[in-house]
Amino acid sequence: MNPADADPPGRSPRLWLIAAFALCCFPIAARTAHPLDEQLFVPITPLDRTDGARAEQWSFLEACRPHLPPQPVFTIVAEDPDAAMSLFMMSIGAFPDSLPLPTMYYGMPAPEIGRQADFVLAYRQPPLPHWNLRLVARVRHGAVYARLPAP
Amino acid sequence: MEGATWLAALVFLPAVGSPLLAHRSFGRFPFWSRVVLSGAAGAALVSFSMTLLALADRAWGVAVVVALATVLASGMRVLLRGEPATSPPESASPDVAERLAGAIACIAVIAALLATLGGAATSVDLVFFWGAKAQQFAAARGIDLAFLRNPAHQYMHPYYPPLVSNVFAFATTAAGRFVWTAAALTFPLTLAALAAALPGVLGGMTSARAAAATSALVVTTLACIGIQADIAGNADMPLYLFETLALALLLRPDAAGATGDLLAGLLFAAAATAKVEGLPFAVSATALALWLRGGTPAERAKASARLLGPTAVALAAWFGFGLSRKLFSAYSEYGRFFDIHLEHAGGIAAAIVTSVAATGRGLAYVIPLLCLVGAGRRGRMAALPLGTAAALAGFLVFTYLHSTGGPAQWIGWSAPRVFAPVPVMFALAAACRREA
Repeated sequence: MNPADADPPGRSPRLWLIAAFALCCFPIAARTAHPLDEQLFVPITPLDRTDGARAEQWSFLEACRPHLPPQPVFTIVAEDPDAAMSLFMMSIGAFPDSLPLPTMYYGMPAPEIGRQADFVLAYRQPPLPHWNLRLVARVRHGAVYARLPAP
Repeated sequence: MEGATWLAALVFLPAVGSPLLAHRSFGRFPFWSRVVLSGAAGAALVSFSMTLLALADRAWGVAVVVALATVLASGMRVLLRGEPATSPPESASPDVAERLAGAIACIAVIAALLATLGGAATSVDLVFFWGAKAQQFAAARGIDLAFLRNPAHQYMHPYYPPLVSNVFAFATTAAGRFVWTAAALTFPLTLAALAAALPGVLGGMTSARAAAATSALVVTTLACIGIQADIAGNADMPLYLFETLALALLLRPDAAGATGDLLAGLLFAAAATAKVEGLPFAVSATALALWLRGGTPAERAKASARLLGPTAVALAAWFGFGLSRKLFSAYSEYGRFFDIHLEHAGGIAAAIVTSVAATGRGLAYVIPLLCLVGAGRRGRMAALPLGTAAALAGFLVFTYLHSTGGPAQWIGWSAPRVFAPVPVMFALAAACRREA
């Protein structure tokens, strides 16, 4: 047997090329199946086309940014525990100079921690009335509140 | 602009690895393979240097990290003393099949690039913890203990192997700030690096045409899985690069010896410090390679030291840091070790099949398997990728079996990514020569 015989059969590389081409076409075909305006849409968040809910949460954090002072200590409240946790995790990276405090941690309420925050970012729900807050700004999908000094 | 600087900082990786890869014994690899192998070795050395500096309570800076990593790369040349000079195989002009393979690989990389730029492949892990850790570490000029110790940051996974957060922090330090898009672009960038390097590495074990076709198959498989499973910006694509190149190196007939073993060992160290499953991959691939090679016990001991030594040293530094700071002492969050829940076994198998089938209709897993079957009976070296794939799959199932409450959800978001090296191993096995 010579070295050429030891290689995969002559048809194999051709088969692999066809296989590679098929695999290459799949994501392109899946992508071009979407309407043209959707394909040409320039993403605003890193998650626009992978996770619509988290993309909206990212946009909410970005909308809150102008209404927060430098190095804020804040918490996020949301009706949906998954959304609250997701927003908390994303806020750590989105606001690197800040101190986000959880009010809900993987479905477990932690209001005693969240209540220490100076600001409350309320996503799709108002904060609890007894938190003694003033409205700073309404933003898309929610609002920013500041803690009032104790009387 | 900062995004360009962030990505440009990654050029330091091949620069750091180049003193080692410039050794005459690596002359067997074509230019682009050598550049990418330098980059992969450089990533391991940069991450190791950053861990060492953190261990010694010294602040990170671009200059000090590059200097230390370069010194390490240069020092490793001592281990290659006496290794003969080699030269790359004579290059004939590529035939139609090779050009076609190159074009297909380019299309796959462009598809990955467009998906990443379009926000269609971003990993949620990037926005949850990789990005946060990288910028926090860059700001702290080291591994930020206060940040990792914060109980609210438990899901930053303090014990996770450090390579990706270290390299991202390195680029962040160089650029002055973390850039999300640039971090996500490491997916197409690393895929392009694999496309550039793999034909030259595989060229030592099979014909140029088969090497090019195999590389195209591997690159499109990973592009397809990467886009469908949203891996841009996480540790998966770097892991695939390190694992694929290491396995391809070990399949070459000239793999045995200080040059091949040391380079494969550095790639294993990079894999083991990129993700948890990189360690079982390295151990099983090493065991199989040594078994297939044969030789005296002394030769095997020497080879295993070269193949697994860098991994042992890199992980010792990382766990040394964790233990000395009372931060972590083991890989956690996977349940109590050996607390196996066999009652979930059936459900695990079904969940894996379901989640893999839901990722691009499972084509990226099935097509390489069909290519392996179509290639007919392969040589005994095919046992290396196939055995490693089996060991990796076994490890992953073993890990899932530790879940107390049923791992269906965990499998749903992890299986398509963590099983991706398996079809790559099928493609590499298909390319193995039959023995005369």
